[in-house]
Amino acid sequence: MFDQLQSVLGQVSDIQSITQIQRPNVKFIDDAGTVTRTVATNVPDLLHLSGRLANSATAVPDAIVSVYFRRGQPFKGQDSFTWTVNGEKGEIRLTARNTTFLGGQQDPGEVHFQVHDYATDELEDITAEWEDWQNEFDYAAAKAIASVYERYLNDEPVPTFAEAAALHRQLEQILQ
Amino acid sequence: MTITRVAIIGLSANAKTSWAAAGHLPYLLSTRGRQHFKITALLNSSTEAAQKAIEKYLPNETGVKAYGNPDDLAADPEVDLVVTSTRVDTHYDLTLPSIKAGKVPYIEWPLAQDAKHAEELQNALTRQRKSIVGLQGRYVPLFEKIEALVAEGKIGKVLSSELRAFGGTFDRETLTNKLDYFTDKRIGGNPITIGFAHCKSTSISTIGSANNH
Repeated sequence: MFDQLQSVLGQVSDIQSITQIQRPNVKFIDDAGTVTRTVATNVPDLLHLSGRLANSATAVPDAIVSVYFRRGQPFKGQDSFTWTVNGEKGEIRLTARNTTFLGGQQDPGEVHFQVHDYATDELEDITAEWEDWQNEFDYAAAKAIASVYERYLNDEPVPTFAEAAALHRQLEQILQ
Repeated sequence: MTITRVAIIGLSANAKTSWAAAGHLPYLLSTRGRQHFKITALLNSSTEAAQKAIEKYLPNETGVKAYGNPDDLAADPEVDLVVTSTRVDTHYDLTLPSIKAGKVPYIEWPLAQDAKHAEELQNALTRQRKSIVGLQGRYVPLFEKIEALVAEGKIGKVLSSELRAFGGTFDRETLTNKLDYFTDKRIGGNPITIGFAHCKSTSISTIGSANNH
């Protein structure tokens, strides 16, 4: 999710983060849903971070990125994922009801993808479809992974170890 | 056409479903995928486990070798690309021999249990230095479209961005028994490193314990 944001907008730097363990005692359940034991966790379940986008042709200097991530369900009936990219002339908004990951195995549920154009004050619905050959595969994960293989075949950029290591370093800083 | 020969580490017959099966096999076993890729080996916790996985997932494939040891896989000249889909803290030991042997690694995210191990894997890449990490979420058309809209100037320059997300796991309070490592930062696989950084997956529970691959 954060990787996808950075892939679209560029690297986020000067990150300030604050984390919380809201529920320190995690209940483990078996396949039947019965609680079998309770374990203390050291992993945060609430994360808020802010940072700035690197200088780029498509962003103003010092553009702020702000992320709120809470483990588990949203407020009942509300969206799991809301992302806005706010620009000089308008803004983009992408929402998904059921999931924060639009490239996995879960049905995202209701998705809204719109641009608000300030000049016309109109909302425009945006679509983005997988290619026909990718729709042969059931899950978004399989379609996206197929993209990785084909990009590798065609010598197009793929996510590399260097990028992964950089993301690891960012996460360690965020979780400090 | 050159065929890239693929080994998969962690295609487990034990799990109810397998991320490697759900994510990688659809393309690799498709007509389109077969034009360029062939699965030639599996590495599991034992050759018996690998053999069971071959019988379960690749019953119609020929010439698939079953390995129980990462050094044996690394020594196989008929493997070009090694896909790894196992619990994060096992990535390093399972993949290092193949990486040193010059095979191209495709490792699911998180790359390793911490930045130090991730950097060591990066440094182990041989001269040709190709590598792949499973951050495939980048190629979801919705995200590519946002990038395109920004690039074409649809909203002018980006002033700021906000992301508000609820996820990482299904429930705020519980975890399935299979994900016991989600409560220990040292293992490196948890709702933040997986869910926040990359994705939530319904099949994460199937990546399972360190020994069950």
